[in-house]
Amino acid sequence: MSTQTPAFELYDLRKRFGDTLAVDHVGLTVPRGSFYGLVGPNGAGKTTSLTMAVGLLRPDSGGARVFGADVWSDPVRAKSMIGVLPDGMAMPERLTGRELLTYLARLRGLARKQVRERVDDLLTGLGLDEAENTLIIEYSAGMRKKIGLAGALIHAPRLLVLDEPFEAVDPVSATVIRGILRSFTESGGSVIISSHVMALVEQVCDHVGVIARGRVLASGPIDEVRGAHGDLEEAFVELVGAPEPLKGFAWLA
Amino acid sequence: MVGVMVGMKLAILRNGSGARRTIGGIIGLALAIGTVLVSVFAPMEAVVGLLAVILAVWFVCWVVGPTSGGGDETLRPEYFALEPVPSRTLMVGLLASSCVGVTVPVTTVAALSLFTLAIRFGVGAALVAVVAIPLTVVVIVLCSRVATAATGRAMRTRIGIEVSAIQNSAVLAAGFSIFMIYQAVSRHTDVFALLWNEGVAAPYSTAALALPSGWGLFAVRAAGEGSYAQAFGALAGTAALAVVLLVVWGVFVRERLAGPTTSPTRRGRGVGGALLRLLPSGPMGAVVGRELRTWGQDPRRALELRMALWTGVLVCALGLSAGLTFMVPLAGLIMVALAGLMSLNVYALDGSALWQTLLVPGAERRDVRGRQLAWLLVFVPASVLVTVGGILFTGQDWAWPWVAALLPTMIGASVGWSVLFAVVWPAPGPEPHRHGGNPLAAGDPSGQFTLLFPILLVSCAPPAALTALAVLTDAPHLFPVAIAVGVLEGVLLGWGLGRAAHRRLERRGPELLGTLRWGWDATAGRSVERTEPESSHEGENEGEEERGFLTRLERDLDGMSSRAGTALAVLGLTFWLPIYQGVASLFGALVGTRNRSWHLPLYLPEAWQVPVAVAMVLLGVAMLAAMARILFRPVPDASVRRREPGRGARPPEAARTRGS
Repeated sequence: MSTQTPAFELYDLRKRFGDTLAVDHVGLTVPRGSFYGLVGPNGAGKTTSLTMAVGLLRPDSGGARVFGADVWSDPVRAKSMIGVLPDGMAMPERLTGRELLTYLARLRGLARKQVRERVDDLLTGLGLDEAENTLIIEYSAGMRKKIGLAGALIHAPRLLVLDEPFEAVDPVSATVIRGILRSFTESGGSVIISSHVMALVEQVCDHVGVIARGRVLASGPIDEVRGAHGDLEEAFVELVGAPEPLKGFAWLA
Repeated sequence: MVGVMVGMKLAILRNGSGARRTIGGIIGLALAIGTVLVSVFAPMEAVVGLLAVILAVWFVCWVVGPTSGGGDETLRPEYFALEPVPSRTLMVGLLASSCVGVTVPVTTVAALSLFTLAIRFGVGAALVAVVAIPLTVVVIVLCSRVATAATGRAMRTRIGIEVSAIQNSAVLAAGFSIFMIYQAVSRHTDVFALLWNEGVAAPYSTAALALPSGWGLFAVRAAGEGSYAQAFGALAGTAALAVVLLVVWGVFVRERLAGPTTSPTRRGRGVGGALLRLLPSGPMGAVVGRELRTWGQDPRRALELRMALWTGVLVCALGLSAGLTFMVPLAGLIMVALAGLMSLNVYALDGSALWQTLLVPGAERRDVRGRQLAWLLVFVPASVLVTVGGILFTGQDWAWPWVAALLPTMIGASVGWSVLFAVVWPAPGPEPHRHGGNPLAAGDPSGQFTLLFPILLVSCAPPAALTALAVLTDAPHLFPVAIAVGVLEGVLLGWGLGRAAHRRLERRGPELLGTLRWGWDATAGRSVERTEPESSHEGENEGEEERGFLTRLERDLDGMSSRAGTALAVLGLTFWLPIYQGVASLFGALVGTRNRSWHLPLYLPEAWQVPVAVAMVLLGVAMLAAMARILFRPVPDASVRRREPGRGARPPEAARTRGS
């Protein structure tokens, strides 16, 4: 594996659902050690692309490589290096937070001592220690995000793929999560997150990919994509196209 | 508002698939017409008691059916939580909309028996019946609604799960035992003729009349006997009960809308806290631990576990109380078979949580094997205990060779087939974290049930046949052979089918995840057929052609149309009837038995008995062949067999709008 091999590479991903082409030849490269933001409007194909790229949805064509290992043809090597937080999926709902993390750690084959140490660290670090005895099904949306993130981190992956990690998370927890992720990239890890909050992406990411209607419109270091625009939001609106201004409804006085 | 809600229900029904409703409607209508015929033709002195019992059966079905299946969730109260309507209007609307569909009209037809009976009494009774019919139907529907709501609420507590499980198990155990009890009683007397001519004995008919389903009938009888005060009293009582039930239901619905889905901070321990500590710390131990906890803490699974266990215990108890001790050794077998049936949808019950398994390298095999191990740990000790204890307690030594040969086979078949069904043919339901207020809401696996049940029976045939041979030819040295065959078959089924399941999961994990995620249509409250892009299948199928029947079976089950599935279910449910009738009648005709029981060919003239019995066996074999044909039909082109396009194009929408 040469040092040039990117951390994560999506190539030529394509997915059609019925008459809709949800993802149309999506290709992205996440360099090693980068914090990559994938932005796009609702229904752009972000989640579908990421779900295919980590091996949870079979693409019609194309694929993804994790540090050179193909997710679909060499899944064992690829999957051992990634931690994933999907959006809106179920978990073993009838386990408590501690039980879930312990289960995931043991499923990954960690030693007993490692398991206890990491579970304690994650529960404390993410502010979940008070809820460790609560069943997952009773967690709030923000807590579900946090326990999901803890599950993605437990086996110390080298690449994190996080779908909307900050959605429904309170500002204090968001700061904590940002801190964790930043120290992860500083120590050589790579992160890709999806979001539709431009300010957040601009604040935390160093690379960005803009995706709309299933296609990648722009990608690269954030300064390049921003170009001459004042901020990322302006650049985004120009790339995606601003909707017709709507003055409001006459009957909604 | 009420009209709008009824319109909404109609629209949802229109968009849904009708095959299951049609079949259910036809069977229901036949039963309803049967009820009416009883009211018309039964002798006058017996008719009221008979009708009371029949209506009570309808009532019990209404009350118990939905509580074990989660109930009709087509229109959920949550949909209207933000509408500015008084709760009384909401409740009437929910009631009215639940009358649209198949079940209520069919029940109304059955209730028409009140009118046909009343005509025999006279004009006054007929007028009373006209009022009694709608009241009776409304009260039955409301009782069902209240029972479902109460069960849903009770499922949040341990004791509630236990009570619901015992209730459902009692019905199941009665179902298992009723034929045997009938057989035992019919040795002494002709039960049907007795019932038809003399009616149901007083305590039972009185009890049936006392149920809410019997009040209208009581009014009709009172009017027929001229005591109109009693008749009006009963009608008024029914109406008052309806109002009370509507109010109680309203309380439950309001609580559901306002309250949390589960009790706050419940620290469950699951099954076998001590057991969990003994598990090895590796990945397999992790899966077994997760499964044991889930069997204990997921209300749906806890209910199914307890239903399997309680049914076995209750079959024992019923057998003992009716003096039919020969049933007691069979209780463990029934327990294991039910446990297999109850766990054939475990992947769907866990919903999209499968993603975690798919993302861990090599976890698919451990997940399947871990689930199997946990199943064995939960169900085998109990079934062995019940079996051995039952035999020792009743001293029925004849049962040892049977049980020793059949129990291992049944255990292996159950643990193998159920996990294969769960992977290959799930019945997806709402996601576990999006249940809303009903913790029992789940997909409907009745098609899988009806297929797995005969499969389990057939799986036990080889050791059963060997044991029977040993008994009939008085050759005890064959017993060890039968036991060896039984154990070997059980091990092979449990191991081999589990292997097929995890290999399938490794190959088609993402597709299963898609089915579990998007296979449930939340608006219609039912499973939908999914269309998958062709390209995901083509590359795979090429190399699979020569891999034998299991692959083809998997593929065919996967692509089965709902019509083929229904045909399969009907055949699977009934094929044993002609075979059993034919074999039993052949045996009876050749031995020259005098007890004809319900073996139809034996009622024919002697010359016809053997040919008809043989024909019935052939019919059963032909039905089996038809099932095999559906299951293993050749598929010329993978791209042609895909299901109807158009419907099921919904999942991607959900995918796109939810995420990005």
